[in-house]
Amino acid sequence: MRVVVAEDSVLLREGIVRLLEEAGHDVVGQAGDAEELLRKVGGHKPQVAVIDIRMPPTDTDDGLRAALEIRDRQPDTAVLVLSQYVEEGYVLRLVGEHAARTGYLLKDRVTDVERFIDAVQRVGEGGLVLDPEVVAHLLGRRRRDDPLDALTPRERDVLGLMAEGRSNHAIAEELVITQGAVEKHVTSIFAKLNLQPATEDHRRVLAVIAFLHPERPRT
Amino acid sequence: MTGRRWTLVAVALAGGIAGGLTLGIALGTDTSWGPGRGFNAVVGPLVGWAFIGTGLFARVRRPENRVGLLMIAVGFTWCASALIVADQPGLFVFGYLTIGLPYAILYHLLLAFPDGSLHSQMERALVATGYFSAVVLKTLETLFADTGASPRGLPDNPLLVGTDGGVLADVAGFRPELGVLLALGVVALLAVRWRAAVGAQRRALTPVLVSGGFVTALLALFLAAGVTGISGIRDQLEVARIAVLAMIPFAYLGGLLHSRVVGAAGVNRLVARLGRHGRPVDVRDELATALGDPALTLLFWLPQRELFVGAAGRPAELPAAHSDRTASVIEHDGQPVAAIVHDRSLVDQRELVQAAGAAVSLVLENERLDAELRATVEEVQASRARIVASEGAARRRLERDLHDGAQQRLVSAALSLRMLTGTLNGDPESRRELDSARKDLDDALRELRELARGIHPAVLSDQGLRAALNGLANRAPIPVELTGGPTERYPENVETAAYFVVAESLTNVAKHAAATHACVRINRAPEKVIVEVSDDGIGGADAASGSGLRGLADRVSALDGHLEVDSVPGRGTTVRAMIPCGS
Repeated sequence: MRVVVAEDSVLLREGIVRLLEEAGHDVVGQAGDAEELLRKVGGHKPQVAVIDIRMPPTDTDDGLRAALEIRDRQPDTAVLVLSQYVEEGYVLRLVGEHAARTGYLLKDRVTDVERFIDAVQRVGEGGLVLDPEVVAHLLGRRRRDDPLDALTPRERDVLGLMAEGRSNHAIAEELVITQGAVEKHVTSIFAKLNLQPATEDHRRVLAVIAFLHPERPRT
Repeated sequence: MTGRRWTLVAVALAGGIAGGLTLGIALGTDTSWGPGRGFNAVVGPLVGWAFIGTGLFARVRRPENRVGLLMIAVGFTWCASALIVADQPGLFVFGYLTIGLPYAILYHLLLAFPDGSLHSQMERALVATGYFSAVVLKTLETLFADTGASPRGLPDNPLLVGTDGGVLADVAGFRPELGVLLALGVVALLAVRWRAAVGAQRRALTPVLVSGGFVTALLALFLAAGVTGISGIRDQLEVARIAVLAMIPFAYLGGLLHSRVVGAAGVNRLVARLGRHGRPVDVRDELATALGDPALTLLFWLPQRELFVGAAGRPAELPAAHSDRTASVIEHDGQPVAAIVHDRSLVDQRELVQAAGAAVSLVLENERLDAELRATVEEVQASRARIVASEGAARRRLERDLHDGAQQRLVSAALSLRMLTGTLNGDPESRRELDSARKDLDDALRELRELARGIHPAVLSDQGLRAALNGLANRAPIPVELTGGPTERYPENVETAAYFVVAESLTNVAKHAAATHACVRINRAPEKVIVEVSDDGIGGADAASGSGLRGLADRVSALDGHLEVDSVPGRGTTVRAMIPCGS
């Protein structure tokens, strides 16, 4: 896959580039700040942009804002944001209403090479990937009138793994159940969250958005 | 007798002689033009003596005020100009030459009244034009005025240099027209000043400004009649003008007397009101009424800081020289207590201001102490706000350093370790140790992330209060309902304070309240943000004992806000912070 990497720490950026190249990806551009990133993404039209959330020029959430701009201008380029924060404010802003081709991973996750490479691959193929720690945090939160309360503990586990971007096959392996059982859980989740029939992929994304925005009525 | 006294006596003597001279010449000649001998004989010396006498009185009363000097000058120049009625050519031409001077000086006097100095460019320009016209233009005109040839039967002009003065004489010939404009300008300025004056200021100004304005207006008419050739009424206009001119010194004296009587009555009333017990008095209002200056303000002296402050405790400057306001410093036991900032017209009634100040000095000393206290509070408040702001900045810096420094390095190290693991073959012992090191690094990263978040949540700076509070609510071990989370951004200090109020309160709820759920409400009121955290727990929290709540109260009050804790046992706890926030 053709990838652009934006990260202001040179050491880390070179590490990430090496990981991606070892995994057979083609790193077509590197950037140290948000402006350079936008320029390179505009020029190379990569399939995936891996973006540090915090970058120059202002050293705040420049990377996040650049990611939103890329999604706006070049919907064909997937954005995988690497973040220091387990903070749903950033996740919500990044994922927004159209969660496809998007990923939010904690920066530490790059050391879990298989996970990281897998995330790049899935985001590039149109999937949605959230960091397991963010998902665990969201599953752990307590709300009144939470629609997720209607789910059984097993269904919550399945939904969490869906949010991490896992396939049914991977979920079955993780939970040590059959793929058929996973499919049953998924159908049940769709029904309980009252999701209208659509393509399977689209419904998976909608379920994750429902998971991110529990206070929002679903259609 | 001092030298100054001798000077005054000499001036008085000279004035007597000058007036006598005027009288002698008026009686000794019988000119066929202008007002008659009788009128000149009576009014001529009267004007001179009245101005010189009153000027001397004003000089003795206020040696530093130029008004007295200007009055004396009007008197002498008037006597000099009266020589115009003389038959003798030398005396006549002296009077002819100085005929405009008393009016030029009178304009100066009127515009500088009552404190003796000119305050605007316009005033200075008019006065300068007056002197220019009376001295330069009149001299030019005299050099080419063949008075002997005049049909009015004037004496010859010994200073005559020729009858054709060319351009110079033409310019000087415009003197009457300039005189009309000048007089109208002076009348207009006086009218504006009189209209703008209120209370004691108007009381002090009226007699002199009105009589002076009349004289000037009559002079304008007189000159205009000459310019337009309507000579029929000129004599009557001149008589009227000289008669009103003679009244100006008496108007000055009358105004002074009136101001003193009214002013003394005002001070008496002030003393009587201060004597009444049982009711706090507003010293400023009382002084404003007594001195007749509604715009009067009070400044209080802080001896330690050696500066004046206003009633609110903020440092204030005394008015600059030449401004419309001026200050009188009030002392108590030889120490400055306060300054009364008042209209400059009251400078002429310094005794009155001092008397009023002395009457209120005891009350003023109390108010001064109040102002001193307020100034100290203001200072402490400002320094607390600075401390909070710098603490906030330090937290942000620390958070940034942790993320950009320590964390980046740890991630890099973990990545290198990971790559090393990949190249390692065999040796299960080394592999196990590497795995353990990686796990330690992962834990360190997680702890670092939480630590940085506790120091300062980046999401607060990046996305504002709503996103940051959402994060807090989701971290809480019990359900937290968040309402009214603002979409707008508030100033950094306000957001930080509001965030920590909620964070600390939710920590307390989790630790002590045994609650099943909590509510966080953010409401925007005019000029403030209200942050409220309530729970359904056991209540009984005490703001005074818990150091967490105490710290919150300090943080909020450093921003001029305040914190309430409502915690009845058995009925939950509500923490409410009101944080000032301009719109």
